[in-house]
Amino acid sequence: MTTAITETAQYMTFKLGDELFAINVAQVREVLEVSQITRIPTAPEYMRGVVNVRGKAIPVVDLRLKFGLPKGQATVHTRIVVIELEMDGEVTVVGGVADSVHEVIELEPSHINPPPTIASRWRTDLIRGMGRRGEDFIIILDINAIFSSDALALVKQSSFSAEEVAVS
Amino acid sequence: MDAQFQIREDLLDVAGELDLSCAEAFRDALVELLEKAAHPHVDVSGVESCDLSGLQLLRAAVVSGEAQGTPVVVTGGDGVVDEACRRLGSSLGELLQGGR
Amino acid sequence: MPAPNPAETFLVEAEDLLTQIEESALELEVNQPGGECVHRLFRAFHTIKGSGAMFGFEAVAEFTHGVETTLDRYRTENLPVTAELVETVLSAKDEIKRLLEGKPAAKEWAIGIRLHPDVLKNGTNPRLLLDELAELGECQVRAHWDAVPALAAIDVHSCYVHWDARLRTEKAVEAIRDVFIFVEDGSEIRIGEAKAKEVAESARQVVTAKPAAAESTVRVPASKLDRLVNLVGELVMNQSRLSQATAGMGAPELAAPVEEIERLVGELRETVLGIRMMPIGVTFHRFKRLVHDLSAELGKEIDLVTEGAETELDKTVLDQLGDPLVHLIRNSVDHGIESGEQRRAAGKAGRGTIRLAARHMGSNVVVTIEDDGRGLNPEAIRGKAIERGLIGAEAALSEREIFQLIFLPGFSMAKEVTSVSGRGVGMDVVKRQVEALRGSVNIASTLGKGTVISLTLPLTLAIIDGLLVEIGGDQFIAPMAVVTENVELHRGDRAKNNGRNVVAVRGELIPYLYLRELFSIEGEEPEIEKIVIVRHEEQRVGLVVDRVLGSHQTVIQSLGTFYRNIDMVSGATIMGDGRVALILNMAGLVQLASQRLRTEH
Repeated sequence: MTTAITETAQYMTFKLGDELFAINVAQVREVLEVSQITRIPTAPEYMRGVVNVRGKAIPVVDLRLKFGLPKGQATVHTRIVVIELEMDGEVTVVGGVADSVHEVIELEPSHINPPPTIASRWRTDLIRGMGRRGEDFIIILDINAIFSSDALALVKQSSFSAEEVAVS
Repeated sequence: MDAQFQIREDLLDVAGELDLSCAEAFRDALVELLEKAAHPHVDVSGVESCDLSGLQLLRAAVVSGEAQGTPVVVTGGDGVVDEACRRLGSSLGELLQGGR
Repeated sequence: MPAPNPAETFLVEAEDLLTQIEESALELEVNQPGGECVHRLFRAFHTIKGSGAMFGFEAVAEFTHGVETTLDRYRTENLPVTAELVETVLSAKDEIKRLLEGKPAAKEWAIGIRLHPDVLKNGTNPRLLLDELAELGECQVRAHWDAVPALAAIDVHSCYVHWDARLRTEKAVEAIRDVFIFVEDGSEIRIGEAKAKEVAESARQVVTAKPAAAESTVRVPASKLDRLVNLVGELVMNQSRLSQATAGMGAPELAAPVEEIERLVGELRETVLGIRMMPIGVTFHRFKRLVHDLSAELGKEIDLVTEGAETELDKTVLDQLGDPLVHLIRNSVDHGIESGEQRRAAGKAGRGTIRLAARHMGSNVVVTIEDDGRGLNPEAIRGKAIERGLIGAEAALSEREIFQLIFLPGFSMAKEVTSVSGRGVGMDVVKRQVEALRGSVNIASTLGKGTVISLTLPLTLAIIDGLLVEIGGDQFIAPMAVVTENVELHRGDRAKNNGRNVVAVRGELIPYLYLRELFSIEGEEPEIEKIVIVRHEEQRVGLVVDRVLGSHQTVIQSLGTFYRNIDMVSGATIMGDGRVALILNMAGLVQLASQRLRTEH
């Protein structure tokens, strides 16, 4: 189970399709432009390969595919978010490919709803909450839980349509 | 290499040796960034060395950014800059922890 | 949290024990057997001796040893207590206390450092002051940034930061003052003795420096060593780029210094890798006990003989070698060596021998586990493999091939499960563990005479000599140790063998893997491709690539948990131009090749 957010924190936001996601900046090491990604043969499609980040080979994951969203096209806005994770008690660094990276925002707990347990298409065990910012909803990810899970989906059902309403 | 500061839109790229001799230039670059940028971002991955004056300025930029509602994101600090912090009895995380 | 100082922990513990000793001694009744009371005293002295020796209080340990010996006699022989004994114990207690206090106690100081704002302008580097402080002892420093103002208000040349330090040192307070002698004017340096409670609270360990003691060894965290190895790796990589670049420039004035750098870098690499080398004997040692205990349990008489204990290999390899070795030795004790009667009936000595040996072979270390037991029965293994459906009833296999069957998952030779070898863990696990170390396992056996299992392991996991190859735009590295030769593959030749991927090399038909296809690499292959022939265990397999780029010595990086299920690749390395090349895993590739071959038949 993920714990409720009780402190004001800064989040880095990024988009996959029309959805806005957020990761606590404490877990973001840096944001890179997409350079040459070395593919790992026979690896599943969502594992895009490895990149050289300051002399270290860092695995890169396609966040769209990892979240169970349809495959996207690379654009000039595509970025690799270098994230620091805790997996099995060890710190691991992984790059996540996002359609675009947006601003860093500060969210107070009062602006974050706990993950809705019903009427949500997101797997509530993998998100920490739903942030509100004006009209927008921001899905705050539990990035450790996401990468500790082998599941290839953040959405509950495998079909995804952009018209669906995110949450009520 | 003497420090170099390059601003492209919201991003300030800092490279070279960040020390007292270029502290004023660094301050000016940070001031300019904070005036212009909606989402100021300082990338220090090109920094080769860094002394207390450079760290103080990074800190000052974080304080200013927070005060004016445009928090500064610092990236690429996990190598040289973090090491510089550690040598001074701190860490990058502590340095960037806002003025609380 | 910094770990509490072990010596300090010992002092606290010793204090308690001394109190207990006094109480127990006073409980003793003269002319009565000491009973539980003497036991208690013995244990307390014993603990003081052990811990004292461990934390450098040798005089205490030595002194206590004598007392312990006396008490042991009273204890084991249950002698009546004499007045002298009580007296001896009490005075011993006092003597230990005196000895413990005699050691110059390091004091812990709390230091507040507020430098004059102008110190930076005067050329003072606060970092050097902190370094100097750290040289005095164990030092933890915490910087406070809260006084740094906003950009608009900052004087870039002023110092706004202040520090709190905890210093544990045997040096006098004057030594601490001396550090700040040149910045005294206008600076506020407060030095006070830290109280024990505060010590515990100085949780945030930031800078730790050990005094530069005149010792012959230095303990270094393994992570620092890893970092050093990585840096040297990058240095090696850049040095080879530099050599290449200058060779192409034809600048004679560069040739000499570049050559010198090459030599120095080579020496540096050897030295740094050497730091991590440890004698395998450390591991051997624990097996003596293992064999002793196991053979006693099974009622067998077995000697363990070790050879080459001084053979060195990388600590990371050594650390991971323990498990497979334990398993192999357990196997030898349990299944290899027969019972005394069986041995004598077979005309052998009643005592069995297990020989554990290590030796260098090129850039590898070979560890052998040899027993003079019953040996492996090829027919029995064959029968079992057929029974388990691992091979067909008519399969024609050489003896070596039959022995290799033991390493297949699900193959267990033991007729009955004993507590020694246990159930479920087989040789397949040993093989996997050794291959994870980029090593290989071989087995030889003579029925009735014994079995030899040899593990071939790389000296280090940090660096690999590899053959760099290219397919499409992707680069891969094949470990040089397994490469035997390269041959050409013309486009026309591929079709000739009815689509079967085999190539004839000097009469031998060698199956090859078409990596471009296997790895789904896009683009068209060149007219003439290269087949890199590698040997893995008893098989030769060809790997078809576009081009062979030459040999490279590279630093291996793990691909981490994300790619742990990828068998084809064992790691990655960063090339001179910043690209990532993948290191091919022969075990994974050969396994795939044989699967393909089997389905083709």
